[in-house]
Amino acid sequence: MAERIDVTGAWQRISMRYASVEAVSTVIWWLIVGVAATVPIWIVNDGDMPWWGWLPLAAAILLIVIGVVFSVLRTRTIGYLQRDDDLLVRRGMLFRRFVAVPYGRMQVVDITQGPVERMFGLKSLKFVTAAATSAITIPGMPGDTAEQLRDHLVAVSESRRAGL
Amino acid sequence: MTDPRHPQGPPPGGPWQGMPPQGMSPQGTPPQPSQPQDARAKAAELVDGEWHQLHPASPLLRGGLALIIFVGILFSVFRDRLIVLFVPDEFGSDFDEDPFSDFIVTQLLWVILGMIGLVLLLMLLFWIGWRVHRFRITGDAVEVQQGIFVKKHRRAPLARIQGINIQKPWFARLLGACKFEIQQAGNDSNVDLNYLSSSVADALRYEILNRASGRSTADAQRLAAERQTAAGGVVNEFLHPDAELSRVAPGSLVRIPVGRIIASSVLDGWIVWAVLYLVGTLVVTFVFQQWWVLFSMVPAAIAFFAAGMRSLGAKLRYSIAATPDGIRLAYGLASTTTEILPPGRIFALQVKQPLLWRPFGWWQVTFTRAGKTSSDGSGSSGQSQQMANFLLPVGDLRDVRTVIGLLLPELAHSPLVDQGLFGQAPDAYVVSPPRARAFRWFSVRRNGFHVHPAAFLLRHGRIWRSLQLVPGARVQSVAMQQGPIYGLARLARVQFHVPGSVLSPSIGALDQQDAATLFEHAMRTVKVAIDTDASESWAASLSRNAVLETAPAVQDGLMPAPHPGRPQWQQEPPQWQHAPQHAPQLHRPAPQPPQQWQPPAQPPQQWQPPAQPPQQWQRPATDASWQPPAADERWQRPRDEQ
Repeated sequence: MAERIDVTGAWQRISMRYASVEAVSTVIWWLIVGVAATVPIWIVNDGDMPWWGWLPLAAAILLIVIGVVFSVLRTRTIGYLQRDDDLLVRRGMLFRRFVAVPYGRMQVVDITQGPVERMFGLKSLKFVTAAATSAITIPGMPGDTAEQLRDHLVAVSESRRAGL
Repeated sequence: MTDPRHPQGPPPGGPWQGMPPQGMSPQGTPPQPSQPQDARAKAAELVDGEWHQLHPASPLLRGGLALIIFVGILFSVFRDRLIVLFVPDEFGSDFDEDPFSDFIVTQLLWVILGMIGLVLLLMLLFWIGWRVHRFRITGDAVEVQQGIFVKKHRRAPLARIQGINIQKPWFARLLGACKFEIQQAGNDSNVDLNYLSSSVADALRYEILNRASGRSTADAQRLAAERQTAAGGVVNEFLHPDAELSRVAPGSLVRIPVGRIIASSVLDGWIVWAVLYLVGTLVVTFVFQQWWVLFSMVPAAIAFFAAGMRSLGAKLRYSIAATPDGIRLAYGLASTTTEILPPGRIFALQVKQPLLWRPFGWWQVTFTRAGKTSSDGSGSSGQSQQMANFLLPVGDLRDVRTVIGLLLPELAHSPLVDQGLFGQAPDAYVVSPPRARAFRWFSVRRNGFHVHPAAFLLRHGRIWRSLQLVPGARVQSVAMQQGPIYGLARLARVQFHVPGSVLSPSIGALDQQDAATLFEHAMRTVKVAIDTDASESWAASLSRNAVLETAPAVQDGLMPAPHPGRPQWQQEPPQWQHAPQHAPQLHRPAPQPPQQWQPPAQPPQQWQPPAQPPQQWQRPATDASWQPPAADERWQRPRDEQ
C-alpha cells in the first residue's frame, strides 16, 4: 500500500484500555442484533431450528471478531498533539482524519464518561468550536489526564480568545 | 414627500407609539429638521439601560390574530343559530339537524359563557405576556425578559452580535411594526424584539451597532449627521413603505434588473426540474391515456409555485451596500427585510454558476453566517421566514468583483478571482494531479486551491463552476482526510470548518503532499489572520473602517479594467509545479499576482514560526484597493475633538 498521509510529531497516544471499551460496545451491539434476528426464526419454526437459522448469529459473531480486531487497531491510531498555536487530533486507520484547532477557537471543552468507559476508568474529551462540522473528540483518556488536559486547554484558549 | 399629518414629528409618548407608522427613512429631499432627530432621540431613549416594552400591537401580531380569526369562524358557523335565537320564528328554522350543534344549542348559555371566558383569559394572558416581555440595552449587552409562568432572561453581549435584521412582514407593516432580530452565533440564540415600531427600529439598530463597534460618541454623531444630510426626511410608510429599502444612503452597489432575476430563477436548475416534471406528466397523460395523472399535477403545481415565489421573494428588489457598520442587505417585495452584517460576520463565500447561466455570464454569491435565524412559530400566520443566504442572487462578473471587494478588499482587483472563476491548470492555483482524473473527470485541471493571506480560495468544477472563499481569520478548524480509496491513489481532502450550515468549504482529490502542505500552511495563515483580525470592535480598527468607507468607490466606475488585452495571470509563468519533492523556496512577498502561495521554506514536519514577521506580507504593496481615504477616521478625529 502506498504511503498514506501523516503528520509527524510527538503524538500522545490514548490509553489502550479504550480498545476494550470499543470492544465491549461492539460485542453488546452485535449480540443484540444477532439474537434479535435469531429468536423470530426460532419462534416461527416452533423451536425446531433449521440449520440456516443460526446464520444470523454466526454472522454477528464473525462481525464481533472483526470489530474487536478493528477496535484494537483503531485505538492505536487515535492521538493528539499539542503544538504552539493549535491542537492536532488524529484518528482512523483506513479513514484517516487530522483536525487542527487553534487554541483560541475552542468554545467549550467537555468531559464525558459513559457506563462502559466508567468500568475502565476512562473519559472522553470533546471540543466544541463555533463550527458544527469540527466534531473533535479525544476518547480514552485516563481520568486525571483528561481533567489536566482540559484545564490546560481552557487556560490556553482563554489567554488566546479570538472571537469567532 | 414628508408626512403631511405630523409635520412636527409623531405624537409624544412611549418610543413605540409613533403610530400611524413612519419609517425612519431618510431620502433625497433636504432634511426635515425634527423627525429623524426625533427617531434618533427615541432610539437613544431606548438604549438608556432601562427596561422597555415592545410595540403594543405585538400580542396581536404574535398570535392574537389567530384568536380573532378563530372567534370569527365560530361566529360564522353559528350565525344561523344565533339569528334564530334572537329573532325567533320569523324566518323559519330549516337548518339541518346535527347532534353536535344540537348539543351546543341546548347548552348554549354555558357554551357562550365558556367561549367568552376563554377569550378573556387568552386576552389577559397575551396582555400580561406583553407586559412582562421587556428588553433593555446596556453598555455591553442586550437583555430580554419574558414569560409569565416560565421566566426567561436572555443576555446577549454586544461584542458577539452577528447581525441585526429588521423584517417587515406585510401584515406587521400595516400596523407600523417590524421584527427586530439581533443575531448571535449558535442555534436558537438570537435575541428577538418582536415587534418594535418601524419608526425607531432603524435608528435603534444604528445605536446598537454604534455601541458594538466601540466607536467614540463624536464619531457616532458625525455618522448620524452624515446619514441625515445624505438623505433626511421621513416618508409616510403607507405611500412609500419601502423607502428604507432603496433610498437610505448608501445606495446599492449592484443593480439587478427584475428581468434578470426572473430569468435566472427560471434557468436555475430547480425550475428546470419543474418543467421536466410537467412535460413528463403530460406525456404520460396523453400517450397512455391516463387522465387521472392530470390531478396529481395540482398539488405539485401549487408546491412548485409556492417555492418559486418564496425564492423570488428573497431576491426581488435586492440591494447590497457598504455602511460603516458593515454590509447592508435589503430585499423582499411584500414582506421586506433589511439586515446589517458587521465586518467579520461572514464566514465563507461561494461564487457559483449554474450550467444554464453560463451563456449569460451570470453568477451567484452565497454566504454562510454563524447562527440560524429562528422562525418564531408564534402567529406569523403563514409568512415564511425569508432569510436569504445570498450576497448576490444573480449578477455579472463585475458585480461579483464588487461583492468580493466588499468582504475581502485585498482580493477585489486580484487576478486570483478571475482564475478562480474561469482558470485552469497552469496558473496560480495548485490543482489535482493527473492521476486524480478518476475522481474529477472533467475538472482535474481546475480543481484546486490557493492560499492568499486574507483568504483561502478553493476552486471547483468545470461544468458547474464554483469558487469558495474562506477568510483566514474566520476559520474555526481545519481537517485533512483520506479514505482507503483516496489512500490508494495518494490523494486527500482538506476541509475548512466554518459556522453555519450553508457552506462547508472543502477541496478533495488533492495530491496528499499538497494537502499536507496546505494543512500546515493553513494553520499558520489562520494564526496570523486571527492575530491581526480586529472585527470584534470594528470601528476601533482604522484600516477596516477605511476599507469599508472606500468600498462604494470600488463600484462607481472606478474599477480598473481587469484585463488590458491578455489576462495578467497568463503573463506570469506558473509558479507551482508538481515536483516530486517540494523544493525549498524562499517565502517572499511576490509583487504580482499577489501572494503566490509557495511551499514553506522548511518541510512541514519541522514547523517553525515564519522567518518574517507576518505583517510584512499582510498587504501587498501593489494592491491598489487599499488606500487610506481622506475620510479616514484618523484624519477626522482631531477635528471632532476641537
